[in-house]
Amino acid sequence: MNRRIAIKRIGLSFGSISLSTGVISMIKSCQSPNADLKFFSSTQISFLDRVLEIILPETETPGALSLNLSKFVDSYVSENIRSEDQKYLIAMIDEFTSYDFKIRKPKIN
Amino acid sequence: MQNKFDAIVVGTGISGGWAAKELTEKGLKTLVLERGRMINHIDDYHTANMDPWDFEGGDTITQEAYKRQPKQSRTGYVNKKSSRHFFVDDLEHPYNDDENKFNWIRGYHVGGRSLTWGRHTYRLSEFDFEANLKDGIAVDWPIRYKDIAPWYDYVEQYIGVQGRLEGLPQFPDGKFLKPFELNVLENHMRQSISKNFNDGRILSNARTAHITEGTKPGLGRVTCQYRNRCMRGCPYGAYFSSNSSTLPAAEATGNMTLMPNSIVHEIIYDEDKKIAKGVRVIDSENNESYEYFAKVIFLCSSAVASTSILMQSKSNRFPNGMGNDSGELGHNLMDHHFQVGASGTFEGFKNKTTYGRKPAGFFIPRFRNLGGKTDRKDFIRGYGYQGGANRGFMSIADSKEELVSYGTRLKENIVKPDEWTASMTAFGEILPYHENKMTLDYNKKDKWGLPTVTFDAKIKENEFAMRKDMKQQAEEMLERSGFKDIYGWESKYVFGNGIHEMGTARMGHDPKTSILNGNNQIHDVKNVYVTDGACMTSAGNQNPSITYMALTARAAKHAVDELNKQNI
Repeated sequence: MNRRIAIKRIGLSFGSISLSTGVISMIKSCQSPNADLKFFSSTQISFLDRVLEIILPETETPGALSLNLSKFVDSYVSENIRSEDQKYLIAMIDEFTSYDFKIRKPKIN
Repeated sequence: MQNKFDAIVVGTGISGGWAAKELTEKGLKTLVLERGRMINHIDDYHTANMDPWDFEGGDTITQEAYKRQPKQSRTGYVNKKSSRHFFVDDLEHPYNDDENKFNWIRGYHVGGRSLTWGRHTYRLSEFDFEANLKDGIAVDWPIRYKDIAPWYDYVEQYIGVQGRLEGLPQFPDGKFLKPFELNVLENHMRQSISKNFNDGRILSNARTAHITEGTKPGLGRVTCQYRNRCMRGCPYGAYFSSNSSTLPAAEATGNMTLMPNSIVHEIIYDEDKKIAKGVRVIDSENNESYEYFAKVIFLCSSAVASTSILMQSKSNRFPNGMGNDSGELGHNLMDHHFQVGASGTFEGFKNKTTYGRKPAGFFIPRFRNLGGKTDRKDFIRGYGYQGGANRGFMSIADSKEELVSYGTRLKENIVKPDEWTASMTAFGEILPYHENKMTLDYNKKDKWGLPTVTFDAKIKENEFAMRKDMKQQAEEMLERSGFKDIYGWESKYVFGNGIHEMGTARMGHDPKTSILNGNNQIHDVKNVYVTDGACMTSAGNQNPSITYMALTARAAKHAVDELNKQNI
């Protein structure tokens, strides 16, 4: 499938935010990885990069990392989310990233 | 600058553009005043060619837009980034709706809402012109269908309207270009609805002001390119706007002086000659005041704004606002109530999909209260549906199964065509209630020191009963067309949200009960014509713009004839 068409047809849901087909398709604008972040810290962005790449991995079409999708999420959250929701989102990301997953590892008999 | 003209036109939207064209083409030196900024066709449509990914963070209503445009934002769509610049800043242009919420959705710029309108064009029918008389409510229209029919013909042929001929009296045919075709599911619905209902209802192609063949006069107006980005301004001029069509025609005569940034707030009354002699204007940029004079004045600045100007035009003869001998000025405010309908999915046509982006779907014209078995006991008047069918793509938010599938499987799923769906929304008539009104608040002034508008309007029993039927019939038509997962909805309708506000300076036979006569003249100030939505005596359920255009062209002819006869 033509990449451009594939990109146009992608829908993505992030947290409680659902993005329409049209909204998500502007990933072309997220092509420069070093562009200034509007909202997230670089730690949070690298977390987002990993999560997004799990949701949309690289296959014969580009994945989230190569499309720099976290940049889109950064812009979207910065412009479109109410400040209380922004705070909630940050709190959830911080809680998740600071969690010690080793504790939850099932014991092996 | 020269301050004397033959004619003054206030406003450059749907009605103002037509007044400018007709008056200048008949040789009148015409001053056209617009309160907003200049918008040049094509040059100023800066979002017209932007793709979804060109909007950083999405084509959305941003938090900043919610702050600056809290009321425009209530629509949920008009002030997305791609069209936000065509709608007012509510902080700069406040109005009051504390009693009952009212959505006054509008743009201040050359072209007005002709740039962003819905483009649906349905003639009123004889049922509508006779309705008030027959029901014994409000006042009778002073005109009938035959009076306006030739003007509908004239306007449709000039602007380009696509549609399908149906031969129904409540849905009068016009001078149409070939219609946008119905897609495969819309066609199926057309057949099912005709077959499964015995009350004469039909599903027809939506009639819209798009060019579908050939060209039309104006600035290089050519056929529709199926982009469906109309609301950003069309670089092809494929749909009608003042900017692409009527204003260039007026400009070409050499008789037009167009002045943007000019807020008209008062019509000056000549107590001796008992006519209007000019207008008072504030320059929106430097706050200076000016007066301009003319033999005839066309008020075309939209229902609420034109009424507001008349209310501010006080004189010894008219202490309560120009033309307001009846006390009806500002009353009988109407709109179309909607946001009720149904959608469903359709199994079948799996080997078909759509191509391109057709900017119009289907229309189901009124089928209630037309006589015989269509008559209802629970409400008077009627409604029509606008809708469309489409084949979409899967969205991961839609089902549990897709939510758990991420990664490679998600990428596979979301590019698969989904099922066919169809959706329809009803637009219903609101009766002209005297209590539904706008007034001016001189205690709350805007930044130019002008009074602000206060709205107080709500829908009542007739509309509520109609809404039940609107939802039920939408569900039933989908059901009888073989849809599944049918979902009927009704969300709270906020007055004004139809963006068809009208009726506040109504036409009528009698100066004691109306503001305007059958030629759109103020009864007792014969050289002032009001030809926008303010003039409407009843609302019908049809999108009203084509009626404003036809009435404006008709009134312009009348005004020029009267000038020639030296009657005004």
